[in-house]
Amino acid sequence: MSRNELKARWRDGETTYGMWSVTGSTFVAELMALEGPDYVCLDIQHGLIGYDAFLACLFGLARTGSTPVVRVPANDSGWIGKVLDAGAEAVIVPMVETAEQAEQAVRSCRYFPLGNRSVGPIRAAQTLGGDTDVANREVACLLMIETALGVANAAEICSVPGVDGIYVGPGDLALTYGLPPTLTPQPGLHADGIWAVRDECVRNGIVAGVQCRNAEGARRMADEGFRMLTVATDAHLIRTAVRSELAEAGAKPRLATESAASPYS
Amino acid sequence: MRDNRTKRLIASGARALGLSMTITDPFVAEVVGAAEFDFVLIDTEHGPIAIDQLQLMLIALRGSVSTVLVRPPANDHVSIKRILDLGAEGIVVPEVSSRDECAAAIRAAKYPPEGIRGFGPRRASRLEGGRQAYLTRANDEVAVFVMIEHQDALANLDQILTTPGLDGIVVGPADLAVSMGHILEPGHADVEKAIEQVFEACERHGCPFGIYAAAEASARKWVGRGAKLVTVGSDIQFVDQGLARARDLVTSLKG
Repeated sequence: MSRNELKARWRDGETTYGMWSVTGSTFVAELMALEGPDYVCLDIQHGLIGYDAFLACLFGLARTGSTPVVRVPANDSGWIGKVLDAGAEAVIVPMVETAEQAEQAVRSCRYFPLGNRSVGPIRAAQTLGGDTDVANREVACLLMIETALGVANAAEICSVPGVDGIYVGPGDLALTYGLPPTLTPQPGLHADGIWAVRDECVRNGIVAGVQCRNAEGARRMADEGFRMLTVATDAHLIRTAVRSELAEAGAKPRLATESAASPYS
Repeated sequence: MRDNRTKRLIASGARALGLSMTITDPFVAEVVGAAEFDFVLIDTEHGPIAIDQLQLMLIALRGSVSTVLVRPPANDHVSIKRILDLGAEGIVVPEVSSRDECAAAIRAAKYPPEGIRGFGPRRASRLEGGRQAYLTRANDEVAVFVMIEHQDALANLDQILTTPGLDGIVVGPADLAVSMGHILEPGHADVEKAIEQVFEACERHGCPFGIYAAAEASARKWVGRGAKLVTVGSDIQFVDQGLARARDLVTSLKG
């Protein structure tokens, strides 16, 4: 168990598909992982997940073949080290806007001499193992570009050594272009920014990833050349399944509102 | 569901050696699972393990080669059902002293027509192979062991050991000693004699004999005699042993 399977698939040129967990339920995380996605991301930035629930979710993902990915709350070495020590094999760092911030994120993911990650892989020693060189090689460092400034600096960010990929956040990106948040590329600055980030990833030989709303969105972004596709979140799946099952059963809509169409859950 | 390794080991004439667990931390369970014993036996009879903690321990043990057995708090079909629904691969039912009690334990673990297990394999049906595999295989793959740990059982051994569907028995030497009035002397000769009696009855009926071996000497003795299912210790016992060694070291370092 000293190999990050997700990273290995990227090295082999594969396009990978994952799920996103915001509920913090161990059993739901396990259920998703047992269906065989390439990764499951535990979102402790926006997800309703405390540390203990997050840790329990990692047990749910262990030995399923789905790589445990974690989006941390911030570009913070404390958080990044803590989730890696617990056994995350890939970290998604939000809101990276400059090369300097990118370098900081990379250093947080790597032990000396590549970075300043502190040694203490309490559970990770059981998963990726205790060898610091192996950890430096196998842990994936993914940065989110999700602002207009981040797009403007994409070339510098993507060329920072040690960055394994960029994970585009179309929602926040839309906001910084003055649009309502959406996971679907909007023609104009928004879509152009997303494609520009993808092009920088290709140029630098790193993976382009993106948050998608659903299978249709994921298919489109795969066609556009993205190789790390988050297909849906657990909350979104539960909500849409509940809605469609109720409708199919003939139940009258009672509480369903516009907000229920939000792509963010 | 996957093949029950422990059942197969015993069926092939080999023995299954494992340990019992009472510590609820799923990380400890994961570490124990990685140690690759033949089985682990989670003790919800005496261990402080609530049902949600048990689920988390089972999740942490998924993927371990060790068969995961669970000791329910009592010979009670409701407890047994909940434990199996979470994905336990077998049960070790405490204090069985008659054929009726043995048959009840087996029925609790089997779907009709063999038993009375209620339907709702919440987590179990989502493991390897999915729901269909679980429903068609559960009655065969789920292992049922019962514990012989009361002197009342000694008079009923022939009836207990021949109960259809029984995968084997496990002697609980401590409770057996207590039931015989030897709470302060679990190694009393009468207790040893009673265990011999159980062992001989198992030999006679071809019923796999198992035992909670609290100490290395006991594990060696019974494995040597041909026991098929033996716990060689428990997690908390290993903590005690490690602490004793550390205490000795500290004492010697202080001169």
